[in-house]
Amino acid sequence: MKSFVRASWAVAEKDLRIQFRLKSLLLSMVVFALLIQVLLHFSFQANPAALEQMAAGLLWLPVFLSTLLGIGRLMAIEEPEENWEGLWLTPADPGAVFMGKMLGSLALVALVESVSVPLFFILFNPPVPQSFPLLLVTLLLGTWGYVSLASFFSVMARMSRLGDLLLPILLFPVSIPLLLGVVRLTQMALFPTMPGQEGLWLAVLIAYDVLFTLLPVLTFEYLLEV
Amino acid sequence: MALIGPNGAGKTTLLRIIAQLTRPDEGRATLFPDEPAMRRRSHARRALGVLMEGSYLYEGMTVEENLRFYGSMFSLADLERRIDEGLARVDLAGVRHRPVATLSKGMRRRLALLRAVLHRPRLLLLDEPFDGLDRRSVDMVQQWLAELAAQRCTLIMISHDLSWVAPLCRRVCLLERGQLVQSWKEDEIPARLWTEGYGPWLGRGRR
Repeated sequence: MKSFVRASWAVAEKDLRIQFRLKSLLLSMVVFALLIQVLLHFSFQANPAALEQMAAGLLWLPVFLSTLLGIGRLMAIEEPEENWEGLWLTPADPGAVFMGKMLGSLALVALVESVSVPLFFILFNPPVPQSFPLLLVTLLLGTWGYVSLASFFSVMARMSRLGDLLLPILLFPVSIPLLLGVVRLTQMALFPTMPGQEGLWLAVLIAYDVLFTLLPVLTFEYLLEV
Repeated sequence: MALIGPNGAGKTTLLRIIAQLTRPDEGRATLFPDEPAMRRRSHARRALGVLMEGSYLYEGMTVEENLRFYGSMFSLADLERRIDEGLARVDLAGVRHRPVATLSKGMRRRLALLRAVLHRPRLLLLDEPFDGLDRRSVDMVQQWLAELAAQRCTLIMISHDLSWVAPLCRRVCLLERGQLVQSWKEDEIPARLWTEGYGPWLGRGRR
């Protein structure tokens, strides 16, 4: 377990070091998320009454799309010098390599959220959230599940001939339960009038996160072997 | 051991199969078959060093950061000392804080070799280890590999220049179309192989 954590941390630290040094990917993701947020603001300005129904989607859409934009590039740093092979040849558990890649990506997406989510509140000016803790937990669980799934499918897509083109085709259908969960929970966190069932949706989200964290960790060895 | 042969003979494929990077179409390759502990993936990986065409280095990190990263993946205890000694050995101590992207091809090759042996493997697989090196670097690497071989590290090398690898090898194997055509011990290497290359032996594997 100790070596698993150590290897995961080494991979995540390496990815973050490279990305913070280059800056281009992180900046692209942040700017892309901000642009989508602003475009959505202009699109829904004419109909503020629809905000209550749309707010959760408006909060998450920039995060999902900027993750989709950046995740392929995050995985691509292993390709120029065939570094996937280099990682495969280390004694580290391949699951730990996946976990490291996922945690590195998660940190970058969290940084994007730290800019995009406050901008959502500034632009759309929704009422003060009913439950800040629920909103934070939803952001954490939703981002974790989505980034884990996107990381796994991104590696899978890059191993195929279609490359990044395959990523949305794989990612969007499988992420539907997650999207439903985060949108419902975000609505409940934002608006007091929304009906409850937080427990049910949190359970769905946790189960989804556990499944799509364990599955890549356990099967990453076979993916790298392809 | 040196693997020689024309392009497409299967030298790199054989090396990749030994390194368990490629699955063979039939049969299987087992590393250290007499040692049950080596059936565990992590144990076998610790005993294996690999230098392929790709350097496995990260251009966005410095020389030292790359070595630290791989050292931590192998959980090496005395990493600092190994890095210091290794960089001095391949004459890269002066560029330890430079990003890999700024290194010349020869410097990268030497660094890639250092990365491959940082964990002191028992079996070292080298695909064209002298590729991109100048004469002085070839001598340096040859001497280093000879020292590793003397420390009971088994070397399996591919090189297009027999004169670079033969002094380090006890056996030279000629491959053609995935088949072993001929094998010579160090004291049996025929003079024709040096003067005429391996051409005279080719074609036999097809009959």
